Amino acid sequence: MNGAAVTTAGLVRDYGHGAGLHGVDLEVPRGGVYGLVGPNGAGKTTLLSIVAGLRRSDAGEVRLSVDAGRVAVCPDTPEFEPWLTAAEVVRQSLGLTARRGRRHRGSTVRDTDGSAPDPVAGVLAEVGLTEAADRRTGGFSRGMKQRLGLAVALVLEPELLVLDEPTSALDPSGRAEVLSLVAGLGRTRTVIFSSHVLADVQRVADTVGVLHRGRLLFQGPVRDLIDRFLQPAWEVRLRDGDEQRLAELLRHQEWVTSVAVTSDGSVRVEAASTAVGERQLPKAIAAADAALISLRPVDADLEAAFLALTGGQRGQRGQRGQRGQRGQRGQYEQREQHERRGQLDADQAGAA
Amino acid sequence: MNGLSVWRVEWLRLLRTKRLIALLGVFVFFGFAGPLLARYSAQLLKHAGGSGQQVTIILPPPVPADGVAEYVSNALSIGLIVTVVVVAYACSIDAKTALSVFYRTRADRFGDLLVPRFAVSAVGVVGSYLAGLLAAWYETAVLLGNPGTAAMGRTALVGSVFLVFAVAVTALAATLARSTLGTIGYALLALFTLPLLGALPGVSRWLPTELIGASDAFLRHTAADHAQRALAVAVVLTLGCVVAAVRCGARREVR
Repeated sequence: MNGAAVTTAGLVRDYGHGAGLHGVDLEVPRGGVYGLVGPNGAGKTTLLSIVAGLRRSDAGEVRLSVDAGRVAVCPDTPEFEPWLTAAEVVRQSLGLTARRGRRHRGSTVRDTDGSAPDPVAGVLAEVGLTEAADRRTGGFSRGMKQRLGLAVALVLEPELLVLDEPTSALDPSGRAEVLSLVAGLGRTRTVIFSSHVLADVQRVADTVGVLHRGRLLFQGPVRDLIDRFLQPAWEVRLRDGDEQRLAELLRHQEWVTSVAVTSDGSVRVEAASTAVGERQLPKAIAAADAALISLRPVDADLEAAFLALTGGQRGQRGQRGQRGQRGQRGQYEQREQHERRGQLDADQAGAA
Repeated sequence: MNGLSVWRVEWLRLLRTKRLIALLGVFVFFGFAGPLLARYSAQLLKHAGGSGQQVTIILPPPVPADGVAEYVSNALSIGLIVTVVVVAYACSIDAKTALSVFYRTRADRFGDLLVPRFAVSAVGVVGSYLAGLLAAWYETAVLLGNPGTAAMGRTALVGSVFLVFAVAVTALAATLARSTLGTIGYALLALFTLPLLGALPGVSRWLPTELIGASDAFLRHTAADHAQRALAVAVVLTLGCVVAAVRCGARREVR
């Protein structure tokens, strides 16, 4: 599983008024899940459509190292003939590609002997649609159509699977199932997965590409993006009274970039790097003679890294959401974002 | 092999969407209504006029040709509109973007998608037209007399060729318009304005629309030599429309 499955060079598709793609150099490694993230209008669907051969580019080129016949695409809201059942739609998918298979290879994608298990039933079970197999798709909910969209792609056993927002209409349990499925698929083939839900991408993607206003701002391992654009942080919980003493001590440490005592009494510490924080923080706690209850790294998420990279703001979600305590960090984050943007520009200039 | 062939899907499209029933219903209805209208039109006009009418309309006694001609006239006008609507829904591959993505990312060539839709639609339309013609023939034979097997055979041929031509025009319109309604509009515009070209000297006898009048000439055993030219042009234009539709559709991008 070496090399790139998909490469684009200087891909341009100009819709005018800044919309479209402006010189995208995508490199999707062979094998694994590539997460494509970006706000609405960033050009994700255009990029995926060009890669899938559904749209043309104004300039640049797309190189696929897989056979074009082994590429499957699943749009965000798949549509099927409403008068076909789910099983018939999967068989239709096979039938359409079988013609292609006969033409290219003299055989079909799924030419099976009689003893082989039924692939149609298999993929429907995989996406949780066994009970709806004989129901016409006209009555399917959006979530069921998304599952069926995955099934009709999976039945082709593609080498490259392009999934555009495959979980956007699913309930939490359905979302977890599909994400698990996508992560599993990434072990045997190449999956390009676009999503607005950055937590989903972080959960399943090995590599991430950040698309913003038609330009690829970052491309690389998810961990690299987070490490590069977010500073490591820890949450320290101490016995009553010890937190102020520890916070005071930490404020005088050179390796500490930020200290705050949160409303729930824990101390949030941000360090210049993960390595120095992991070494120095336990020493500081010991030096403060504080009674330690717990010490845990704060999960750095892709959303924060994305916002840092694109210059966006976490905004109200950070204040009211699951990480509400981070609201007070807003001012700090914005200041840091400006610094990091400067660092990114310098890095990009250096790379150029 | 677990796959569902494109031909089978198109057959299911005709059956399950009730479009075949719509086609059969319209053509067979006119098949039974045409001869009735021809047989009793004089009586109908007499009753419609009332007793105080100053003007008396005298119609010639109906002949067997009138019954079938009445059917052909309705079939190739109102039946043509139904045909265009049914075919437009079948051939508008890009009307729904997500459905278009499903088809286009699986088929190797656009022709693999369009040709079965064209062919199965044409079979459905021609089959319905012939079913209506049989109904008209039977009822005409009962009410007015047999118009003759040879004349009926020629009428079946020219009507079928004209309808296949209409299906091809609609298939081409489907690759030019984005929506199904747009397809219907383009196709009807082309089919109903085509006779206007007949105003050009020497052109009218070459037009496919001439086939509509040719069946009447066959039924009344009057000369219809020009039907051969119109038939040839209709066949050539049908093939041309299908080729153009495949090329236009292949060049088109998904929105």
